Amino acid sequence: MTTHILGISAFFHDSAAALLSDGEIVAAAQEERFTRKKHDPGFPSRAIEYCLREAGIGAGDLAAAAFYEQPLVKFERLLETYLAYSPEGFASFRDALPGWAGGKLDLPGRIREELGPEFRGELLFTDHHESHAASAFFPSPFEEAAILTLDAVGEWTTSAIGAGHGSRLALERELRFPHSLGMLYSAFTWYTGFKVNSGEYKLMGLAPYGRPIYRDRILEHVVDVAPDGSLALRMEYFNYCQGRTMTSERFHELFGGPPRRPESRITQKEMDLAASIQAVTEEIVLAAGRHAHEATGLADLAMAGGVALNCVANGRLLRDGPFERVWVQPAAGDAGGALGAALLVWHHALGRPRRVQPRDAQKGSRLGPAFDDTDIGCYLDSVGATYERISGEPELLDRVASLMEEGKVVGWFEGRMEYGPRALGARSIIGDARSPELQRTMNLKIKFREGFRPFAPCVLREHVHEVFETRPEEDWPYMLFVAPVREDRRRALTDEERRRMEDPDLTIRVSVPRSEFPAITHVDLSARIQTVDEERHGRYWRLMKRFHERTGSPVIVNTSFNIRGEPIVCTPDDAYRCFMGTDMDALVLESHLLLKERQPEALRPDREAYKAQFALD
Amino acid sequence: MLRLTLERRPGRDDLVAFGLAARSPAAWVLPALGLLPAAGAALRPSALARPWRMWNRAARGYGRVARAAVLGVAFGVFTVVGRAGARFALHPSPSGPGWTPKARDAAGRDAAPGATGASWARRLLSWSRDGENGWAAFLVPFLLLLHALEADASARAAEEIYTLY
Repeated sequence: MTTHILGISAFFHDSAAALLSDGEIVAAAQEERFTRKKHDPGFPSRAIEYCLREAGIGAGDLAAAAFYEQPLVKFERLLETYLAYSPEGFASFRDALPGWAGGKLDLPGRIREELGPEFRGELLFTDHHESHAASAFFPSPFEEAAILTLDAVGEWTTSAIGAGHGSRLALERELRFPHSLGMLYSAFTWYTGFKVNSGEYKLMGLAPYGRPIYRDRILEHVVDVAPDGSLALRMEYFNYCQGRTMTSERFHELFGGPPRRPESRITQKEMDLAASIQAVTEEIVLAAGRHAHEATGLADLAMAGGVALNCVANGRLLRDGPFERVWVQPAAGDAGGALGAALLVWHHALGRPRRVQPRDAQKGSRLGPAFDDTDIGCYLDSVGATYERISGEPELLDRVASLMEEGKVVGWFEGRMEYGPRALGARSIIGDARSPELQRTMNLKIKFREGFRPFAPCVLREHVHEVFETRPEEDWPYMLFVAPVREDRRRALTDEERRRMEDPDLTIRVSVPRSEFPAITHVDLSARIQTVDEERHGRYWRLMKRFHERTGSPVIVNTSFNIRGEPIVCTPDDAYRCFMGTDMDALVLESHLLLKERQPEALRPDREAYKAQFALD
Repeated sequence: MLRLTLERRPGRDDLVAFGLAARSPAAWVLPALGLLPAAGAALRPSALARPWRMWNRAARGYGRVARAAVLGVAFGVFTVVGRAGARFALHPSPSGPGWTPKARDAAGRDAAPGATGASWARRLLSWSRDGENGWAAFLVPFLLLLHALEADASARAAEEIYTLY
């Protein structure tokens, strides 16, 4: 009889559910994709419903459900924090306690209520960082590996080091709250005017525009870092323990003024702060990685936790660190905790063995729902869309590759939805990376986001080392590592272009073509790479092969299929609305091709009304 | 006690129920008066829509005041009792940064073993007794009050801060 285990993460940010059947990952998805509320923290009812449906089971078939952290231990940390700072902190206490009284203290009851009376399995609560560790090690292609988890905070742990062997893992060392690399990075995210928990990524993208002139100031005043990568924050510079903001007045004085107001102009100061905190973060991650290597003596590393989404630091760790290989869980944040909790139950609580997959067990992180052509056709007919159904794949791929070659932007919706924050070719907006105009067009007219943000490339795996400074056929399918463009692919800049690179307007800087692939080359000549292979990506790989045959370019632009503030699209309806609400030129929904100019005018929504549905992130 | 949902438009059933419930306070004043809301509810429910909305607004305001009062008292009591009993695990080690041993924890049961099926308050009391958190038990009455005031489990913190709780 098949043993089904459900993993759940919820109530703080990025709720998700994941389902294992006899230890195999059958389904996993974030709740935000179903509710259309970005970073939805609510109980993942719809994600759970999807996972059960995908496996063809009901809640009564579950042997166990696992929640990704221990709520009472977290409650203890919360209370200890308030006590340590009392009588300050009442405002924060007032915000927090009703939520706990309203349901977080009764998670066992709440989970059983949501799963229904037919659920008779065991309910378990795993340790937060052990959940992260499990999500990193168990799906990795490593029989044994060092483990490094880095985030803001779980119950008490903010970073942890350990090792995994076969079907067991153990975390041996930790750093404890309030000393947290994740909180440090989030503090700078907030200070530079971005939103915490979604803006960290933007801060990383801003860093190449700046110089790390504040690095020494950060290390002298704000954080003490030891050679082993452990850290201690100077808490007088922070306000997150007792207040409702991340940084204190003392922090503001140290860095010469109040935080940047969100959506206001980004100045050189913010760029330099971004570069500085990025440099400090990379040094800490590298040092912690070296310490993990010394402590375990193992050649490979598995990583997870929100900080592991810093792909620039990951690239630095791989290039300059002691490990031969590094594998990062694609859903490295709290959403991945659902998967880790389920895996911990399977391997630790139930003692089941692990079958190591040579190319990892994450299945390209395509673990969400797919939609068949019949249902898509019915939907498109119901809304009155104009489309062609192209049954033959070669013809479809020819048409799409041709559109891309013409400089068109295409919404690509195919196969199972990705699990994790990145679009990996299932729910993507794609285009020709050679186009010098595409980056600006996509940022301003399609994504409606900050113009300085670069796009990321997908590259055929067999050609990755021809374009980027990587090892031949490097296997990076999850867009979690950054590498430079090869020197022979770069462009020499004219004097005029060099002047434009100093322009205070970042959209002018980023528009200077610095390589053969300007749409995906950042100002420092780096790119956040996803390799595409046939086994994982099927039709998407064949599309890229067709484009390569036509143009000689093994690289395309890939950005997530959404606009700013919107979760990545999940259903054909989400995709069609996004397509119609933006300046995308074409949409592919499995075998259906839609061209914007042929869509009925009456179906075009008011652009501002569409954007207004989603709070700015 | 009838619990009214504050957000949605009242349906006929809501208004009839409100009318029937409203007769209870009125019946204390004059028994005859108590018949009026019930009669109104039966004959013309829409006439009660406005009093229903006003009642909801008043109830919501009362809830806010009550919650703030409970939280204020809770914070005061908690601070005094907690300072007497807590471990103060938060304060950094004076020797600076450094990795510390992490307690191993296999996939565990609910943090209060043996309390499956028990209410959350009993589980919290068991946890505070079995751990070194006896002082946390003093919060239980306040948490029960907040729970009764229908504190919102999905309430979000200010967006300027990482959600630590």
